[in-house]
Amino acid sequence: MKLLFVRQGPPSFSGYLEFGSWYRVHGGGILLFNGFLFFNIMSRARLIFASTSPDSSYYNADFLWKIRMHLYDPHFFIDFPMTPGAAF
Amino acid sequence: LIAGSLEINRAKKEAKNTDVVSADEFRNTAETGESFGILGAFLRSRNTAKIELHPDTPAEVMEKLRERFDVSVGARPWYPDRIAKTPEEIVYIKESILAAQTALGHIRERIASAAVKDGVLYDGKRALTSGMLRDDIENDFYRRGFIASGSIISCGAASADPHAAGDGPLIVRVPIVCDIFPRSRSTGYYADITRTFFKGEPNRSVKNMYEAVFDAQAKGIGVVRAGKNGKDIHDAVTRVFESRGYKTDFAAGEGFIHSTGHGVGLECHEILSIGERSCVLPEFSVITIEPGLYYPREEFGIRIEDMVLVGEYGSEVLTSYPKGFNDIVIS
Repeated sequence: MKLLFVRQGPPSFSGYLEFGSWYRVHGGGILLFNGFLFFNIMSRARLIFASTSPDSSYYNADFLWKIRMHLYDPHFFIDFPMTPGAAF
Repeated sequence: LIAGSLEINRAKKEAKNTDVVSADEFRNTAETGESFGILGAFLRSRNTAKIELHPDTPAEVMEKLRERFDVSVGARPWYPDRIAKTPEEIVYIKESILAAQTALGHIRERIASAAVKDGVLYDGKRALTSGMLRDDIENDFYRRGFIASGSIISCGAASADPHAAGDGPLIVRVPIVCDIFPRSRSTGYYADITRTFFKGEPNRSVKNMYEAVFDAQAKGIGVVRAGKNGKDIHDAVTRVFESRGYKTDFAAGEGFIHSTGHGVGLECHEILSIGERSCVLPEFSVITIEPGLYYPREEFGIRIEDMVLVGEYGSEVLTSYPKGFNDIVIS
């Protein structure tokens, strides 16, 4: 995962990463620094709105490949590339 | 996966690789009771404000999501891992191939048993038509657990148009292009195979053309391996036709007018394209190699298509239906 991020809020007093400072991640998401680890507190979701039944006009083969079950009506399927709460 | 009460229990039992969340858990915190409100409540619970949409998302859905979220459209392939097939997926594809080859055998038998009168094939007192054969194999596919629609059985002038399904009586000594692409009703995986049959031996120039297509396909299959650029395979196939004097005029729709092949899996045409565009073949991807020559003014076309599994050092041809000239000329 790319950790290209920009510090939010006022400049760091000490010049080092500070407890409780937070950073916006390139591509979505917010990282909170607890003095030792970063925690992802705002994430970016990847969304499919589709059906997995080939007879449906909403059919999406990516969705079927992922969940391997037939759903005739369209559903929301969400991937979280950066799981909220994950520490880096 | 967010599922409503209609699907929640089945989804919890059947959905793989996913957590199933009940839409009703979020109804109380949703701004509105409809599905977009529930999605909003779910995403807020996960501290999510940015959404990347699958590129096939309907425009009206995208507009509704844009009212609530910071929305962008994602790139293809959505799941790059889907291109390379697992051993289980390859078994599913082979099952569909077996069904497709059974259908080709049936077509061959019907052509072999047909009588010829005034240059037209007959089944008893009725002319044997493309439509009759298509209905036969597509009904049989359904009985065997597969779905096929729009199977190509094109004869004579129709065979010069690569995607014409074909219509009318079958004729002696001209190409009968049979492009069969069934999908398994249980697994969802496709096969895709084409053979060109003749009832009675065609003239010398058509035979030469068949051999050029045969050799071009052999060349293409011979250079397939993991890491190879699909464009290089297409160029190798094109060079065989050029070396035999078969020129292509794209504007006139004459010659080798389409790409060499495509990926196959849960879609008949998957993202890999073996043509003019650059694309690198991953190991364990499944592709077709299907060169053809088409001449609308002479009213015929020839295509041979096989499916191959891309390997580290070469390829395995998954389809095995005979295609030598003596095999496809039916007396």
